[in-house]
Amino acid sequence: MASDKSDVLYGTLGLMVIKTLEALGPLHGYLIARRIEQISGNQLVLNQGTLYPALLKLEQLGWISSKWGTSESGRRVKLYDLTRAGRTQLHKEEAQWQRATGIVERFLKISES
Amino acid sequence: MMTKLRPLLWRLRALVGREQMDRDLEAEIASHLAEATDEFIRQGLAPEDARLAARRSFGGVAQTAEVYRQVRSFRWLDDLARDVRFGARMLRRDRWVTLAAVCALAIGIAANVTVFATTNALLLRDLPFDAPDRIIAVGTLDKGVRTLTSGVSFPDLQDWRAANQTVEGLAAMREVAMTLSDDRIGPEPLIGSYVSANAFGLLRQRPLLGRDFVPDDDRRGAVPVVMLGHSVWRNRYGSDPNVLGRTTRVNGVPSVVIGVMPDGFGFPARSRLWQPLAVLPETTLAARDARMLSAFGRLAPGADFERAVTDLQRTGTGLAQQYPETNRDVVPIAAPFHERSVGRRGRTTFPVLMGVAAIVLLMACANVANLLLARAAVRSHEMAIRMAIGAGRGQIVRQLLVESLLLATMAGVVGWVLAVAAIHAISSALPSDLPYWIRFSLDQRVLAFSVAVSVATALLCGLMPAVHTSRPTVSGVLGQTGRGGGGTARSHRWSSGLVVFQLALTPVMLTGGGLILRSIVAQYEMDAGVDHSGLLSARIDLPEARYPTSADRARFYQRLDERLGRVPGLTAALASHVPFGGGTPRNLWRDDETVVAQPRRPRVLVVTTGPRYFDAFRAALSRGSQPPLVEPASRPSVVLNAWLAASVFPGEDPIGRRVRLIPARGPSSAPDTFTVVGVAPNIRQSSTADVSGRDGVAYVSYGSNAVASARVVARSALDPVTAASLLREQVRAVDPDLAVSELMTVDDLLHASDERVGLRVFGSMFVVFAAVALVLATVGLYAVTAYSAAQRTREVGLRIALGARHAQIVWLVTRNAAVQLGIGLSLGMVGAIGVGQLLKSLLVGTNAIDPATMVAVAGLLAAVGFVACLVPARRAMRLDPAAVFRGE
Repeated sequence: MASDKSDVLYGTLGLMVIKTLEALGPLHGYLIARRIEQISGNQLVLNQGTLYPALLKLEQLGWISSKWGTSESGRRVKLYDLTRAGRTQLHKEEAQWQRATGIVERFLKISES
Repeated sequence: MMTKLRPLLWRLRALVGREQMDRDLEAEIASHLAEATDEFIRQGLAPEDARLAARRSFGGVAQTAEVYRQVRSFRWLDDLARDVRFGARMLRRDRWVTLAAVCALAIGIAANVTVFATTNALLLRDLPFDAPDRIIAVGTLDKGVRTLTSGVSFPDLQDWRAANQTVEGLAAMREVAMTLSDDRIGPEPLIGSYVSANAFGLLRQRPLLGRDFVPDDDRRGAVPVVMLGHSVWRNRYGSDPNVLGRTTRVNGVPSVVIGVMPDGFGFPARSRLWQPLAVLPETTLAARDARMLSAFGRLAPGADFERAVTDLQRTGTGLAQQYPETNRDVVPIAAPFHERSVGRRGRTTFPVLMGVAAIVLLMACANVANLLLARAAVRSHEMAIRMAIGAGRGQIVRQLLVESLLLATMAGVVGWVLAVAAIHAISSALPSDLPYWIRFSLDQRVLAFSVAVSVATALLCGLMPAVHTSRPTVSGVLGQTGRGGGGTARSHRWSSGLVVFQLALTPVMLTGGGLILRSIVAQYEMDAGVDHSGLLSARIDLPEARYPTSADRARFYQRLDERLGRVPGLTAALASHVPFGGGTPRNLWRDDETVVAQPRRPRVLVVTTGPRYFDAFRAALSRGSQPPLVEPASRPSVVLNAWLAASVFPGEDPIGRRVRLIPARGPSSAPDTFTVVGVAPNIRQSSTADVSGRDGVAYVSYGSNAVASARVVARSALDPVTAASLLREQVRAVDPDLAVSELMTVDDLLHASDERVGLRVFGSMFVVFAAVALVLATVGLYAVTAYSAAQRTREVGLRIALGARHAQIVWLVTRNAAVQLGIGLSLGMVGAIGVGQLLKSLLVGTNAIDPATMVAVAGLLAAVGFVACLVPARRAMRLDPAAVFRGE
């Protein structure tokens, strides 16, 4: 496996899931996993199975909801959708994340100069 | 808050819908893999490769499901459920072990719950009124001759009321025997109370019907009113609401019924009727030194107990300066109302019973711990395998603790059922006229206690075997051969220790039980000195309202006595106390001695008697004669019993000498110098004294001591029913409004006395516990000996094969038991001496160190030990070596 691919940063999978759902609307598990991989430009190694505990945790927190539906290929799948609370949470986390990355970025610049 | 709560709710839901959620997850993963496979096929992979690729990109399906479940639910709860299921299976498999353990623990738990429930009913339960901890009982302390607690007088109470700001109000009461009568139904003896008008208000207790007392009722000269208790209203008036406003006679005084109190209310203790204090004669209430009332108050809002006491005592100091004659040494005292005295015996009895029950449970726990240890030895293989495949020690301990918790839970349920039966038996053995707050119901407190005891039991009997079992190393046990791995040396030490512990406690229990048993027998066999069997006794109480003065009462007794003397076929006499019935305590002085403070005098019990008293007992005075019923109060006479006469006037003729009989609190204004006119045979009045102890009794006449309560004792050749109605007739002829109570034989009267009932009921609990302890210890010794003998079957077989003699085999098998018995007995005998000291105040006619009891106990234990060893020893002797080796 190429060394420039990285594991999903701890705690960020949930953020990626809700961001994906915000962008694309209701999705089933496989599509969520594929979108995350695609958006990262296949730079992320996602053990797709790990997605399901993460989805359950988000659902327990009330940020996403789920219901059974049909996939494009006609299979019975569980469709996940963002809730109002999830949307609020996403905006909060986006802001936090940008602040955090901004700080790290500034530090990296210091060490370069 | 919400973000914390939601996952929790989810998890709780997951507990219920576990299977549905598992199926959903399975379906979801399946569709995920199918979608992925489709995509890989679209990318050009062969279907088989595509399926594998989809699997690969998904990762471990099983791991996902596991992590998913952890997120979904409480992991420890799942584990616990698994442990419980497994534990239940183990308990079912060893069902005889389980049965034995549950029985032993159930008995131990039942003993504790029973004692706790009894203690709760008698001592611990909150009093049944609003905010009971705000109610204080108020009394006085006489610092004079002796520190003596006493009641309150009405004038003092009024001054305290006026000066006190820390209590909301003070109320006085006096609970006495009353008689209720009216034109339709004859007189009925009832316990009743005179109370201040504010008493029920302070308790926050409203009448069920009608109105509460108002201050006007409590004014002198007001129309007498009466409040009925619920049982009186129900039984006497058929729950007729029209009883309000009707006039009845209470102690012969016409009184208007103003209300009915709720069912179960009997304040202050067992009252069924209440009247205002003002109904009492002026003379009872006016004197500042007539401290005959009890008093209580409710703390004012914001005031605490300490401030109330300080406040009261400040008032008391003021009164002492203002009225030095009556109040110089009198200090008001207060105590939370719930700390009412339960008596010296009660205070000893309950802690002792709690301790004894705890010992029974400890012994049961020791037995079960031994059982579990033995089983743990058998299961050490299982444990080793579990550890080898990665179970942590904590997990194994938890598994074993869950098993003992299951045992204790079953035992707790069985024990609860046993306790319910025991409590029912106890409450029906106790007299029915207990103070009204005593109820033997199983409330939450008892339930909580039972649960706590069950959990403690689980830990006590389970922790040690669990920790012990989880200790052996994997290779050690798995490497061993032979049946079930066998017990280690350490487990033998543990179980021997437990047996010694049991054996040491047993003599303590047996000695205690033996001493109590001897006391019960001694109390019943105690010789009164006269024949009191077949004697009939009846009690009459003269109400103060109609017999306010000694002269009034003496006149009544004289008229009654005259009638009693004329009834044919009846030898009847008046007496204040029957034999074993106590007397009024006095200090006795010869008139040539000077009365000093702090007297160390022989206490004398004074009994007031009428003519024919000794005839009724078929006894006769050895010297002189009985004084007449009524004699001039200024020159009273007395009859001393032989013991008293000999100890006060050794070697002298007592007739014609003079003695002083002085109350413990010091001389009063009443005449107290008596002339000795006769010497009576020794008749025992006190029932708790040492058998050999001497009981000084002085008999005085009703003329010098016209007490308000009297008994009629009668011997008759007539049948008891006729004799009883004859007695009742005589009393009614003198005063139709006077009720006769406690009409029964003297034997029944004594049988029902508090002391005997208490000793019988609580003593038999003790004896039962001691018997249980003996059984537990015997079973424990037997089990351990038999188990270790079974463990050594091979060794014994080998020795027999090599020609060991029977005696050697027996010694081999029983050696440990003998050592354990020896150590246990020696330790236990030391404890047995201790328990005698502890029980001292409960014993009657029995010494705290009783060699006979101790020898019997030691002999019994040795015999029981012998029997416990007999079976394993015989089994070992008859062992067939060939069978042993074939069995391998």
